[in-house]
Amino acid sequence: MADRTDILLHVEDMKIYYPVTGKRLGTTDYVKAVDGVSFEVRRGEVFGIVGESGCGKSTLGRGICKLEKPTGGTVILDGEDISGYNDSQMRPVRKKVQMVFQDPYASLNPRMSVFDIIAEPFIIHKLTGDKAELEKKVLELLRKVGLDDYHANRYPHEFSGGQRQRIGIARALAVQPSLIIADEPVSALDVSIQAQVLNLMNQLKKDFNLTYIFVAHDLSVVEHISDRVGVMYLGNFVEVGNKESLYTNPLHPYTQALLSAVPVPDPTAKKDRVILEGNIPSPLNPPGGCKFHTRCPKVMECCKAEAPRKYQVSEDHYVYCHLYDEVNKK
Amino acid sequence: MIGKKKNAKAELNEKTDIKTPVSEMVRKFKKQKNSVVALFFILFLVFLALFGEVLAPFKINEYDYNSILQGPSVAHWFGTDEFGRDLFSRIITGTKISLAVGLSAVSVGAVCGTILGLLGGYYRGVVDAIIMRICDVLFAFPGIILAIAIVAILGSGIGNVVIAVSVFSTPTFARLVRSRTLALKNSVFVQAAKNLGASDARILFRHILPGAVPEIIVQFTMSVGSSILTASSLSFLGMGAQPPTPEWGLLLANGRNYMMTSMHCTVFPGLAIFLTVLSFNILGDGLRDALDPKLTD
Repeated sequence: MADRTDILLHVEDMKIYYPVTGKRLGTTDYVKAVDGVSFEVRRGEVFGIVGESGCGKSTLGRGICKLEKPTGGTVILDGEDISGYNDSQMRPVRKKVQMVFQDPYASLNPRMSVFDIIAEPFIIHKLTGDKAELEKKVLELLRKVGLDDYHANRYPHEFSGGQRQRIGIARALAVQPSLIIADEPVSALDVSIQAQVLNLMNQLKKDFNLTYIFVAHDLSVVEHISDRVGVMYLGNFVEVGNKESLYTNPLHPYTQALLSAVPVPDPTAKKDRVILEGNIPSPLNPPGGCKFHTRCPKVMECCKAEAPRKYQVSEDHYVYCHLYDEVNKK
Repeated sequence: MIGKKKNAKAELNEKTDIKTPVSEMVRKFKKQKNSVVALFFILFLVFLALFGEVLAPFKINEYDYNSILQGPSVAHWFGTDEFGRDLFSRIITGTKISLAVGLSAVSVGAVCGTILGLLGGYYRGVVDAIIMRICDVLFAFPGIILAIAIVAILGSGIGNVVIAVSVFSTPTFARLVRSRTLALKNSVFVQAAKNLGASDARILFRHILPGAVPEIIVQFTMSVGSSILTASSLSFLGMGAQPPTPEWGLLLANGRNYMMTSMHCTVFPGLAIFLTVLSFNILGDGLRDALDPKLTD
């Protein structure tokens, strides 16, 4: 499946563990932030990743572009296996995959002007010949993201959160990437600004033929922008499917609980809320079997013993849950 | 009138509304009156260092046995020493030596310390451990003892004083820059630069170093003061400048013999050292406040 040409990114069994000092002297435990995740992203789509805080969704995004060093697994980008690449081998690859960061206040160097910030990728990859060309390209990008020429000489602290995120997006676009990993790009912004930035991202996607991996914890934001959605829980996907199918017919008990928690702007609407008990367990010592079994309202004996495999429910809708095993369906 | 003023301001805004970090700093610095005075005093010292020899009313080694150890007078503002040399001339000529020793020693220390700190903080591991342990060892000595030890090894003389002072100012800078590097290395904008494919050198010098510059400037100013003091102390102890150089510490050491009878021989060189070190410290304080982004007015 990995060699299909419409697959831009193929991630197989990605693991990102952080070593921590163990309880007993001399032992090392691991925080399993991402624990064997496999998925693929098709050219031109928006793949949304949702999950609650600490489920490893951001780490997964950062692992793909090697800002975190993956403990294991394969990443195939555009037919090229980049899993074993070191820093210098990664350098040309970084032209293909770029990131937009969550916090627009921290992601721009406060001591560089907007011009210098956006010019940096051009300089690093030697994409422009002379100064005039550089200036032209930077200003072009600024306009593309809805800012004006005169903004170029200013410094990040003079901009609002939304404007800064636009600058971050312009910087990511400079190298003309094919894949942009957006790590909660709008969660730090006001709701009205969120919409503007989301619309901008949609527009840019059309203009530059981009593919997005869109990480967020806001279900309605993900629904708005994504084509396919993956739901993460404690370092694993629990359900992956196209947006329509997943939102109208959530299959995994966790997805059902998440979706039932989305507020509906209708005071008379009666909803069957699925209220989850307890907190998300520590990724330091996650429960065995299905990781969700400690909180699952439909828990069965087999869930505690064995991690569920991937079940295909319909075309382009997969779920990792024992409920969909043939044996249990009867 | 008001309308006109507003217009002019709006025009200015359009043209030059660039609040650079530097312009912000200058604005904050101007509010610190003490530091502004200190800055002017230092500029005055620099002027003396450049033109002291020309301005001095007497030659520094002009002996006049008719006026030995005379107090301040119209002819000799600061009095004369045991050979009848004019103290005023010797002190303003000595400015050059003290400033040159202080600035050059601290510059060398700052450059070495900054590079070591950047490397240690960024790469961690063995390199970091070695650099920091050496710094710990150097820190364990009081500055002056270390300087005496180095001069004892290298031999006395003003050049060796510069080496001694730069060696003991290096670890301060190394520690300072290392701690900033550690903090900035994990900041999102450094990660973003890394994600763009920036080389280590680019990350270190374009992203991390500018973030450490305010601290370096403050530390530099403070260190110049203490280095001048240390250099003078070494000369005072006979390990730095040799007579008849008009080095302040040496003038002080000379004057010490006649302190009971001719106080001016120690008071004026002492004042020169005191005021110079004090103004560098006050300037450093003012810069610290001006450069601290957390202190907003």
